[in-house]
Amino acid sequence: MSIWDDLRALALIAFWDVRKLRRYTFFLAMRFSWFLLQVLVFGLLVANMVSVGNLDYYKFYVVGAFMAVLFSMSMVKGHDVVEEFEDGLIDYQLSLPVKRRVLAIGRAVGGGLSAFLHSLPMLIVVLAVLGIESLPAALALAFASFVFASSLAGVAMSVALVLRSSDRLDILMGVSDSLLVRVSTIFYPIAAVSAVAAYYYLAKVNPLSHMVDALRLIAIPEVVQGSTVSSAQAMIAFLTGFAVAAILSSLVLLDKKIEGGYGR
Amino acid sequence: MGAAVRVRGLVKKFGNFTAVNGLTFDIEEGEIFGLLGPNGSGKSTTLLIIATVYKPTAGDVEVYGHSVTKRPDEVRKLVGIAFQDPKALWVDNPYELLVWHAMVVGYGLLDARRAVREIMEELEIWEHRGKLFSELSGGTRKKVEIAKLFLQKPKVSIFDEPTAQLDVTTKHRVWEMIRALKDEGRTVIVATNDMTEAERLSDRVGIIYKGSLRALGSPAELKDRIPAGDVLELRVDGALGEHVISALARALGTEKLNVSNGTLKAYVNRGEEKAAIAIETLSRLGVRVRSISIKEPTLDDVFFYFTGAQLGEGK
Amino acid sequence: MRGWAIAIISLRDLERFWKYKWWLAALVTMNLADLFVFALIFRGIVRKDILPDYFLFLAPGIASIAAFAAAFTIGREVMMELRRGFHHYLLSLPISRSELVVGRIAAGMVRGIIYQAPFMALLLALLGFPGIRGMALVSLATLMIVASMSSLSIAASTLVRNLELQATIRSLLYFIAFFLSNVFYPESIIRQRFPEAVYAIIENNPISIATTIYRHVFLPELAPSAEVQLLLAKLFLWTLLLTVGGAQLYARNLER
Repeated sequence: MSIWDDLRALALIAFWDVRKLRRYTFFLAMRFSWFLLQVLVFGLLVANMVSVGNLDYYKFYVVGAFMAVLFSMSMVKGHDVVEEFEDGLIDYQLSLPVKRRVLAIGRAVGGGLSAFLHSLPMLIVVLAVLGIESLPAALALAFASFVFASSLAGVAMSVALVLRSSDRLDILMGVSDSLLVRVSTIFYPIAAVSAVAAYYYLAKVNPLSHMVDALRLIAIPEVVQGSTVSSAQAMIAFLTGFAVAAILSSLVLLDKKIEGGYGR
Repeated sequence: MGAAVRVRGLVKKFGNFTAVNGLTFDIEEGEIFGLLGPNGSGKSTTLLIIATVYKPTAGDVEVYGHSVTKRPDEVRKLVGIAFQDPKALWVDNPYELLVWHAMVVGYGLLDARRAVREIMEELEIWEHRGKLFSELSGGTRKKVEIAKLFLQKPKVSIFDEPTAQLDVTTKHRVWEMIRALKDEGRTVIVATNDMTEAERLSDRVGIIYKGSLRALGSPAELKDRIPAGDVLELRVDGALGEHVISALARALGTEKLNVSNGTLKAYVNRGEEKAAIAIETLSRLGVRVRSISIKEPTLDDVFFYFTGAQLGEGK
Repeated sequence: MRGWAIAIISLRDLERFWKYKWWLAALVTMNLADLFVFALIFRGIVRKDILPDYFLFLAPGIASIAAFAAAFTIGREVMMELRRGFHHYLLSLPISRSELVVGRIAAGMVRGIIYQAPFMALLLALLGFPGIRGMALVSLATLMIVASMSSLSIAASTLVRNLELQATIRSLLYFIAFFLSNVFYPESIIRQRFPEAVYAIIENNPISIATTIYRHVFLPELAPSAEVQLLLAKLFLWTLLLTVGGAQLYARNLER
């Protein structure tokens, strides 16, 4: 099989997740309303309560809320995989004449793309609220969001493939949503997290902190200058390492461990 | 022609449960091979290992020389499977699902659309092309599932109970389509618990029971392999007690007795002679015989002979 | 109405509550993380002139959110039954419609109370025993909030036939009740930022009312001027409206 055949298969596998978009119409409407409440009620009120140096907390929060959406949308992909196990669709995909690693990358990219497309209405709200008019900045923000969503969706799908149980996945996702999002710089700058030492170190190594601060550096550089989890270069290095580790572990997992049979 | 599929010492365990226990057999290139066994016998597990969906616990399978454990990517280029339970999302519609499948197995978009239309028309499901999968009847879903394989036409086609839930007319059409695959030189594996299907379709049959292979050969060979070549079928009034059955087994000199729905089947040689002995024995025990007949063994009888079980038996 | 029939229906729902132990564990983690991570970190950045201790401010709110969230789970149960057609079986039982409806609402209430108990214990540990009157007030508020929210979620789960839309309506109601409440922000900030009409909505949200009662009992300095009788009367009105309305909607929609 040539590289073109593999790329073609990868595109088709990625399309698998994207074509499921329509099943989420109501879910998306709900998530969008939730986001609006977060940004237009919670964010506005909380921004009036807090004081973090000269930081414009509202703008800081809006990007954080978007990152939280991107995270939860990517985690939904894990649920999709468990559902596919239950419906026997993983068996079907494993039987297709496609290399396992093409299947793994295709699902991660497809999951990321669909999580990104789900988050697109929220991204438009973010651009409007932050008043971003520069097209390159908007595109850079969109591209970074897509890359982050793909990494997170890949991790969520791999975890789901290993757990194979909606119960176990529910708790893991619930706990990770609660802890990973909160023990990060999604809702507060790293300086604020330093008030609790344990949280500070966890937030420093939490990929979500690096992702959200990278988005902030793109969207509102003048607001977050000097208050990100680490320097821009260090964040890029950390996120690249995270992406490589995530992809490699997913590939190894799918290549060596994964087989069909839900409930077996 | 050589073997298309070689199964060697295949074992598959799920926790403490052994689904497949040391299977060894070959499937010849260009034949239709029937894998016969009741639900839970290990048929589907074996097929899923050949299709690289499951990994074997021990042993191996080679498809055209490629091992499912060492070169699964190569095996998948040669093998396709139509699952026992149709695989689709409830929001899928058959047309989109089949076009996607056709493209993954190598068609260009336009060819995929044309081929999907043809196969859907042949299976008389074109009118359902835009419906949601959740709205389709069981039979239509099954047709969509087998349509995938008729589109794909791999070198080794695996059908897991292809005609379950199909009406008689469609069943015959699907059998013809499966035979056409063989006529094109492809190898076909059909797992079934339908004796007629196995007998009509298969060049050779493997009887699998509780994870082990109990018999292998063409339907005719397997029937000939029953040493007591006649099947004595008796209908009696009332239920048959254990003492009656054991007395009859002693008198007939066979242990192969099967009682089902008031009918007793005994696998014997010299059928006419044994019929008289059976009537005499039952009369002596006060059992009234309503009818008696001597038959040629069917594949059903072969299955009972080799497994001691009825095909309808589940796990 | 026969008590045993109501009890049988409620007990069935209660048993199912424990079957979602993983889901419950995730919910507990989320509520605890809101308090011990979010509130703890926020305490450092919330202006002291607005709230001297954000952690203590949020603690009573988390207790009311816990009761609300657990009582709300009964709606998910009702939705799953509709999805699987199980409600036909319930309707065929030799149990009157009113017994069935009351049993379901009661189950939601018990779920809320049980789930809230550890959070209430946490409040007692953090803020001390508020006296008999205080505990009576808190218990009354809890009873009313779980009754109203259990009924609301049941009603929402039978409102429309489209099951996805049902889930969306329930989630939306949940988030509106969650965000448009005073759990996370004090009255002064809400008034400062939003027009009077929005303030009125937030102030009269049943979650806000229950939270204000909890704060008045456990942290009187945070809600010194709270007119407890008026708050109880408002919460009672909500409870009456949602329980009677929810019960009627459930009974009517089940047989559609």
